[in-house]
Amino acid sequence: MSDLFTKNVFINCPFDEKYRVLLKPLLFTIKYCSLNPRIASERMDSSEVRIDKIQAIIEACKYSIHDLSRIKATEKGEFYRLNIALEIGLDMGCKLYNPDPKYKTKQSLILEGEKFSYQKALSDLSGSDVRCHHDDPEQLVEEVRAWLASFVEWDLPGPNTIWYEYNAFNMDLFTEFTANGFKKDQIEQLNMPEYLRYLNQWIDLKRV
Amino acid sequence: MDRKKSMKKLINSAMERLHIIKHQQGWVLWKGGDLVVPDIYTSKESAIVHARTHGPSDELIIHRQDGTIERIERANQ
Repeated sequence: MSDLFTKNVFINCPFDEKYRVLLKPLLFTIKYCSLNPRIASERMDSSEVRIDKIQAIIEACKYSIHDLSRIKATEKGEFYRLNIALEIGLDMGCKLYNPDPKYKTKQSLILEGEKFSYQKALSDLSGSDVRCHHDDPEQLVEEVRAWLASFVEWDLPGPNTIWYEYNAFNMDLFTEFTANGFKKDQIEQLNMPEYLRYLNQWIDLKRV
Repeated sequence: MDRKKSMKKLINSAMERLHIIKHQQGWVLWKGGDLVVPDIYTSKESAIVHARTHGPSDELIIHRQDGTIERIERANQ
């Protein structure tokens, strides 16, 4: 089994503006705990078919985090979002039906924003251990860190340390990009490849 | 200065910055890897008041609840 497969974590989450406040600490926590987050928006290539990209990422990851916190329509007339559910199905299907034995070792964490809300939308998941972050970034860090700690074979920093360091990281990101001609809102909306590049470099340098 | 050098410089200057960070039901003062005081302040304002009287820091970084930057107060401003 390749080392990359056992360190890759597939992130199946919404990509809307509101979710960015949760997505960023989620990515930080995974990387800070010495794993490698993989997300569909990690590269921007318009010629790439999205579902093919997602399938390739799922096959490259032993671990998955699925966040159901935005599956509910927020206003009248808004379409119910099904991408997250589709990708959970793909990930579970990969584990169940792929003949390569390494996929039987896949593990996942399912998150929700409101306790037991998933049971109304995806009742087939009843009985699964779904964790709730209450739309709170700090709570999300704690839940994700606790899940990672259940299987990694190395010591992880505590949840408070990860949360404080995430805050410190934001300061360095802000300082660096401001110095390079970015405005505050442009920094907050950095595209994912650029954000991930800075995040990876920062954490690697912290460890030196 | 290349990216890695400037990043390393920022990381190494962590002791010059005092952060006000959301924690559980309140706010804490954090600097260079440690809490400055063990107290959790119930409001951000009380944490800011304490931070300003705490002692010299080149920068006071006030975070939003989501961890991003709300504003920065610099000692020479």
